[in-house]
Amino acid sequence: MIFLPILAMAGGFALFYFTGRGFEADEVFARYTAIAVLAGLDTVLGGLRARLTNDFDDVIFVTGFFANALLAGGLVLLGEKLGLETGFGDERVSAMMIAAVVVFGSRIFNNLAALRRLLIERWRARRASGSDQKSTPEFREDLRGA
Amino acid sequence: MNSSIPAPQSLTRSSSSSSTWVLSLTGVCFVFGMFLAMQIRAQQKVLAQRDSGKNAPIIVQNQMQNLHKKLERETAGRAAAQNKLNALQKQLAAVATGSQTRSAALQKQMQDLQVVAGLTAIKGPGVVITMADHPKAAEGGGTDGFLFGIVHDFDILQVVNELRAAGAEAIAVQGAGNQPATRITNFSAIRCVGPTIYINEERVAAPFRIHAVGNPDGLASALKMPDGIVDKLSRLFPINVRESDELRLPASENTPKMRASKTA
Repeated sequence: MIFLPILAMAGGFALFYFTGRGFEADEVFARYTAIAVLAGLDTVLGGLRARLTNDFDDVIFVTGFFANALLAGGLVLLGEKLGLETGFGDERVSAMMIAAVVVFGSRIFNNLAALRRLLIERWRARRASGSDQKSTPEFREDLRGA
Repeated sequence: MNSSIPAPQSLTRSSSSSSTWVLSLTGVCFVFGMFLAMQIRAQQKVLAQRDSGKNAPIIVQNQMQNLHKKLERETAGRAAAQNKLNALQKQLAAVATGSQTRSAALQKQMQDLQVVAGLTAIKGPGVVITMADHPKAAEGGGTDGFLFGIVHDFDILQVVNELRAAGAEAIAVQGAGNQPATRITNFSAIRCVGPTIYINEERVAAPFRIHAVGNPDGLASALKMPDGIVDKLSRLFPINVRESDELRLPASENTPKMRASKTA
C-alpha cells in the first residue's frame, strides 16, 4: 500500500516532466514555486511519518500540503516586498528565502530521520511477532511532527 | 487497527485513515510530483534564458576581451615581422652595397689591369722621341747591305728599352705621316724584314715618333744623359726628344690568344 503514493509521485513527475509542460520560465516566479515545492516535500514526508505513527489525518494532510506550499511562497514574497534582503544589486539574496530553506530543510531532515527510525522499528516488530503485520511501534513524543 | 488505543478521538482518526489515507496521500504525492516536474522544467528554462539573455553582455564582453587579446597578439606579431623585415632589408642593402663595392673594386682592378696591359687608350704627360733617317744616309753606302745613318729596328728597340728602364708607363710607335701609332706591349715585336721595320706585324717607315707616357722630366733626362742613348744615336741620325703635357696613345690591337699557357 505504501508504494501507491510513490508510484503516483513518479507518475505525476514523469507526466509533466517528459511532456514538457511547466510553469512559465519566469525567474522571479520560479523562486517562490521552488520554496513551495520544498514545503510540499516536507508535508509529504510528514504525512508518511504521521501514517506510520498512526497520527494521520486526511484533511490536515491535504490542507497542510497546499497551505504550507502557498504560505512558504507567500512568506518569501512578503519578505522580498518588505526588503528583507542582504547584498546589493544583482548579488542581493532574499533573507526570507534563506529562512524558508533553513526551516523546511531542517524539517525535511527531521522527517527523514523519524521515517527511517519508524520503518526500522516497524520491521523489527514485524519480524519479532511473526505474521502480525499491523503491530505499530509506540508513539514517540520527541519525533512527533507538526 | 490497534484496539488497545482507547481514546475515541484517536480511534476515529484511525478508522477514517484506514480507508482513505492511501487515496489522499496518493493524490497529494501526484500533485507534488507534478509540481516538482514543473519546477524543474521552469528552472531549466530559467537557466537557459539566463545563459542566453542575462549573460549576453558578459559573453559579449568576454568575446571582446578575447578579440582584444588576439589583436594585441597580432599587433605584436606584426611588429616583430616588421622588425624582421627591416633587418632583412638592412642586410640586403648591406649585401647590395658590399657587392657594389666589390664589383666596383673588380671594375677598378680590371681597368687598372687593362691600362697596364695596354688594352685601353690612355692619355698623359710624357715625351716624344723623333728619329729620322739621316738625309745623306743613302750616299754613305754600306757593307753587306747594312746602311749607316738610317733608323734600324734595334735603334727603336734600344730607345724603347731605355724608356722602359726610365719608367715609362706606356709606349707607342708612330711611323711616317699620319700612320696611326701602335702600342708597344708585352707581346710587341720590333723587327726588321728586308728594307722595312715591322712593329706588331705592322709595317712602319721613318721618320719614327716614339710616344712614351711617364714623368716627362725623368724620361727626358734618362734619354739625354751623357753618353746615353740619344747621345749615341744622334751621331748616326737626327733624334729629337720633346716633352709633352698630354699625349694620347691608342689601345693595343694585338692581344695574343693564350693557347699553351694556363693559370698556375
